[in-house]
Amino acid sequence: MPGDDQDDADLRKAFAVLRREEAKAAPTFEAVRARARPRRLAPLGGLLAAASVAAAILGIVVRRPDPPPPMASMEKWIAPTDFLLDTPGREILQTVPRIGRVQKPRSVSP
Amino acid sequence: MSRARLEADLAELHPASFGWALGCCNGDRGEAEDVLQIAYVKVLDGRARFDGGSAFRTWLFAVIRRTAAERRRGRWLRSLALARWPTGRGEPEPSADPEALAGSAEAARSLRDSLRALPARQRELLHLVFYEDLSLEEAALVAGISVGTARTHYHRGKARLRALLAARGR
Repeated sequence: MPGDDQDDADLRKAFAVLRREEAKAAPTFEAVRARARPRRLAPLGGLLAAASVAAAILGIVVRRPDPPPPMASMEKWIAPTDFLLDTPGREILQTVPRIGRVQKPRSVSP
Repeated sequence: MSRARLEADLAELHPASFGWALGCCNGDRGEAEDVLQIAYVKVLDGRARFDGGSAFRTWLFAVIRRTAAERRRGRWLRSLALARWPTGRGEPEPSADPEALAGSAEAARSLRDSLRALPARQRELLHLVFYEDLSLEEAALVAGISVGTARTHYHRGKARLRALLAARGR
């Protein structure tokens, strides 16, 4: 007994009649399978759907922010305040002084 | 499950599936055939896959129900966009035919009309239990609701249907 109640004979009988009547007019399994695939969207509906998708894509492309500038390498990076460190004579400190060869004065024999 | 086996199972359940599809489509025969065809293609193409978690019939009915709901949603969306555009589909075939004059056909029509007057959930559960002979638990599974909720709708539906049939003199 599918339902809970035991006294549903009236409904069961009524549904059995309905089932019999509908079975008389039921198409065969093969007929339903061979049926042409039903149209899912009306032509204009399809166009509207395609247009809305295209608009969404266009909106994304147009509104896409500019790509961030490429990140400079830390070795090449120059701080904006670097010029403050350019003190006069700085180039002297950045070069190694060359010390010339010292020659002894020739001794004079008596 | 092999394709041949699936086809055999679908063919065996076809009369019951058609009845259920009719129930899901409010008696619209053309729409029921469309729904059934799409559901069969889904099953045979593997887009709807039976995992053995329930009886095959319960699962198939759930696929049919979902397909009918998708079609209803599609129609609703089309009706919003194309309120005045012809869709190529006519009105549901009238249920009146020469056989409708016979007693059983008249009784069937009376029940069908009374069912239409019920809320969708109640109609669905009564159809699954009385027409398809599913248990309340199986019907709840097909409808995607809890057994407790199904029981409530089932009892209310029965009371309402009896009242409607009584008002029609059945």
